Amino acid sequence: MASSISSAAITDGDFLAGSPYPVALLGPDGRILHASDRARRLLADRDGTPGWLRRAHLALPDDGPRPRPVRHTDPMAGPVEAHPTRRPDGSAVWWFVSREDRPAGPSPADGGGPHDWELLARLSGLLLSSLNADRVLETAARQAALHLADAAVLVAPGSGRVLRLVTCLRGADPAHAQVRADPAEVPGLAEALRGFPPVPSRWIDPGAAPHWLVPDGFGRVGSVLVTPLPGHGVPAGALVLLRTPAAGPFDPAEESFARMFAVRAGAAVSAAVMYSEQAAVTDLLMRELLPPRLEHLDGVDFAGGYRASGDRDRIGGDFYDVHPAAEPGGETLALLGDVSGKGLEAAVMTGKVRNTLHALLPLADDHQRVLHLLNRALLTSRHTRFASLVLASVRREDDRVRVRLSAAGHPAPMVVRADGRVTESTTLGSIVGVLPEATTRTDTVLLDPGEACVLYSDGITEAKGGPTGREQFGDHRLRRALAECAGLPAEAIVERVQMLAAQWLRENRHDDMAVMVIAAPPRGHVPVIGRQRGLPE
Amino acid sequence: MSAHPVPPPGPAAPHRAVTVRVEGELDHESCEELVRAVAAHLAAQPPYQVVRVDCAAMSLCDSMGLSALLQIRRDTDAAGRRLLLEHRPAHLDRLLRLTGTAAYLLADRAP
Repeated sequence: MASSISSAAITDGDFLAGSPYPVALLGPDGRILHASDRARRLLADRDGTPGWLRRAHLALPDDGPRPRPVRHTDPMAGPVEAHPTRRPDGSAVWWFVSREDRPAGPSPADGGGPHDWELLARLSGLLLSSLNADRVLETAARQAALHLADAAVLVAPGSGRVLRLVTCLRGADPAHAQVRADPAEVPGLAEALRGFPPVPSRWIDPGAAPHWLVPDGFGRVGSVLVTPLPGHGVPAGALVLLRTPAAGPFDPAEESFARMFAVRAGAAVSAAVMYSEQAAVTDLLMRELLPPRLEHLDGVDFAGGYRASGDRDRIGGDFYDVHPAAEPGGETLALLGDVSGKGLEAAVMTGKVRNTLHALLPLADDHQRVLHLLNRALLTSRHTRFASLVLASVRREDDRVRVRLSAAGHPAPMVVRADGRVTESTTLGSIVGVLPEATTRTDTVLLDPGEACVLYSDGITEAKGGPTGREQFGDHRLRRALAECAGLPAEAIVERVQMLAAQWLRENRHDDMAVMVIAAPPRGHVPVIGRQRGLPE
Repeated sequence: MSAHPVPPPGPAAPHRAVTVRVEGELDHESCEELVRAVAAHLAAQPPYQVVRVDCAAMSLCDSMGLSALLQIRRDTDAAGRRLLLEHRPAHLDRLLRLTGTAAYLLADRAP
């Protein structure tokens, strides 16, 4: 049997070799017995049959109607149709037709053809689909191994004495590794990491490739290509391509294609690295600017909630803080405010207001003076950005809570009485940060057990939505909502107000929204002994 | 927003005035335009002694809008000119009262 196949193969081989179109003869077991030169290149195959073809071949029925062609998308030649012709001995001849019924075309390695650019465009798309540096490195390794070599190794940028590598065998998953090694062990790598132009592959002795560079299971290295990943003005690492001896050396066209790929991979990697550095900076800033979590303090309940204008930004122009009294029985200073505008610029001024107020705490019993000094500290000739806020000095007196309120250009807080009445504090004052002088009129409110004082930003009352999508939530709806909150714990009032505002808004754009509730605990409620500071989240 | 220069009655007109009309929402998207328009009028030659801002068609003024009004007040004061906010809708007056900016913005500091 074996001899009959081999004698047939010789005939077939002679017959096939000269075929102008890619054609291959596969034996019953799926091995390639013979293939035309074009087929060999199309299948990009050294020794074995590509998996897709072997599977299709073994699945061919023994008899019946003519089998349907098998479609496969080749990374280089694009979509390929493989048409089988069965032979009685179990072997089959496979004819390959690439897109547009052209003969399966030249590989990009042949240089200059339209396939180069199509592939490059596709690869660029893949590389730019993530802003996570690790993902980009993985994609680059996976695609480089698939299209340019038998294995790819990406040396991550900024590697010091420890090299961070992403390695990938053709068709396998990329793996991350860290090795303590000198890049100079690989000819051209140290230069590539510094951004120098690559050395031609033929100058690199494949035998010199150190073991840490070669992925497990790769075998002997036939050729090595090292190319830098140029980033935005700084090297973004290096790409090392490895081929087995059977795959042959990199020709100049392949080297230039690898370099074009490296340019795109480098741009994608450095964009991702820059993005993650900025994200880290923003994260650091935000941690300082986020409002604190509020709790029970000196026999008074505090609760706060905040929703930034863009759901993507967690910080913005609204802020609140609670500063516990310096000594037992003293006044706790709570404050809630709003800086004109939104986003990071507003957040920076927010930080300034909060820090200044923190420094002015020793003067907190004189609201007028605090606002006057804050106004001076914020006043600048550069812009007319301003802040509005409410100061609330809170002290428990027996089972009641006394709240001194001073508004500075801010909506007056609302007071929720035990019987469901909602009144507005009479405090009124001017904004801070832009006028020559800041003035305020302080109002004192006494809360009985179960009563609450609600500080809010105009993002709540000016939330546009409702049935028409354009109506403001308004004072009256807030008032009505609060009337139903009589006797509720501080936390529950905050959640109720936030929920109603969110329902009102639905998908609409909105300003920052902040709400803080200061409540006298209901009778019978045992206050926590000692006190807890409001801790940042 | 549009400007309607009032032609001077004579060569020696003591009170050349210009009107800037604010239409629609004065918010973060439109406030820069107002500040730039007023700055351009302040730089005009021969100079305008009075800048009128007609607020009749202003449908909304948010905090950035107020910031812009404060900026043009600062600019006209610095240039020694008069700024008049005219035909103010009720919502604008309410905002000026709440923010304590009415006295500052509406003061008629004649040059």
